[in-house]
Amino acid sequence: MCEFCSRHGRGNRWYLNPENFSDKLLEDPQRVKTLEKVAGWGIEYYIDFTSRVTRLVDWPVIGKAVKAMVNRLAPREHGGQVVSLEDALELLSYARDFVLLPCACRKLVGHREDMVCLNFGPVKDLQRRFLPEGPMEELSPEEAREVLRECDQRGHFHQVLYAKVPFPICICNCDARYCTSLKQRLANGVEVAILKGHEVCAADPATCRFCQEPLCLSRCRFGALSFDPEAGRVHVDQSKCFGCGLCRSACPRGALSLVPREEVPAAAGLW
Amino acid sequence: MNGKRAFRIKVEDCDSESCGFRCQETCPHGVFLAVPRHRNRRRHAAHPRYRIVPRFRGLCDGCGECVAACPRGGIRIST
Repeated sequence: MCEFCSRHGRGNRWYLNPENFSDKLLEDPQRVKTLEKVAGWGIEYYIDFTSRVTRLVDWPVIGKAVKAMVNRLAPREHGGQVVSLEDALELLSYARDFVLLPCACRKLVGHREDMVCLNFGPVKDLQRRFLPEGPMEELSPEEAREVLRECDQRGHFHQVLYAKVPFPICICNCDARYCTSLKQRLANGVEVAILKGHEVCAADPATCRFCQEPLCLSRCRFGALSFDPEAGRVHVDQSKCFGCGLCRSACPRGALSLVPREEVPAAAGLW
Repeated sequence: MNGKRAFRIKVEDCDSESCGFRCQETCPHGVFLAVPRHRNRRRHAAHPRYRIVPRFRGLCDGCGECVAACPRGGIRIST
C-alpha cells in the first residue's frame, strides 16, 4: 500500500475507492483552487511552471529545500501514479462524464496533436468554462474503455492523475519520450511527480523462451527489462519497474505477469 | 543523473516555428520543452508561439544530434 492508499484507500487502492469520486470532495476550497489553476492558467503554462520549479531540485544549495517543498505541496495539487490496464478499466466504472482531450506533453515536447488524455468528473465543465474553443471529444463509458485498450495496444502506459489527493480527474495514456511528469522524476529526481504503480512485473523462467523479436523489451519504457545471456531469458530489474504492465500484454507465451509490489523484496516500498 | 549533471545545453533565441521544431524531433530523450512565448494566455491562444528551452537536461547524454539539426546553429552543448 502506498501512502495515499493507507490514508484514503479504505483497504483498497486510493483510485479504486468509490468515495473518492464523490462530488462532495469538490467542496474542498484547496481542490477547487488547484483545478482552476490547472484549467485557468492553461495546462501549457502549468507544465512550464512545474518543470521550472522541479528543475531547481538539483541546484547545489537550495535543492534539498525545494525537494522537500515539492514533496509536501504536490499531493495537495496535481500529480499522478502509474496504473495497470485492469486497474484503469476498473477505475472507469466509478467515474462519469468522460471527455478526451489532446495531450499537452506531446504538444510541448514533440509537437504532436494526440487525443489520448482521458479526463472525467469536473473536467468537462472546467474545459467549457476556460477553453470553450479548444478540442474536446465526449465519450460514452464503453468508448472510454476502448480508448484505454487501444492505447495499451499501441504501447502507451496509463497514469492516473489527481487534483489534490485522493480525487482522480484523468487517466493519461503516456509515452516516456513525451511525458513531462516522468521527465521531472527521471531528470530531477522528483518522485512525487509520478509514483510507481502497485504492481511489478515478474518473469516466469520456465515459460520464457526469448523470442526472435522480443516485444516485451521494446515496450518497456523504464529500462527494467533486459536479456540475460547466461540463462537465455528475459531478466526483470524489479527495482526499476513501474508496473505499467505493457510488457505483459505483449508476451505471446504469457511468461510475464504482474505481482503486488509488497510481495517482491527488491521493489517493496519503492514508490 | 541527479545532482551530477554532465552536460550544459545552451539554446540561443531561436525561431522554432520556421524550422518546425527540428531539435525536438531529433532529440531521442525529449530534453527540449516548448514553452509559450506570451505570458498572456489569451494572446497565446490567438497566436500560439513557442520558445525552446532545454528544461530536462538531466536526461541529456551528449549525443549532439540537436546541434547538427538546428538550422541556425543556435544550440551549444558543453560539459
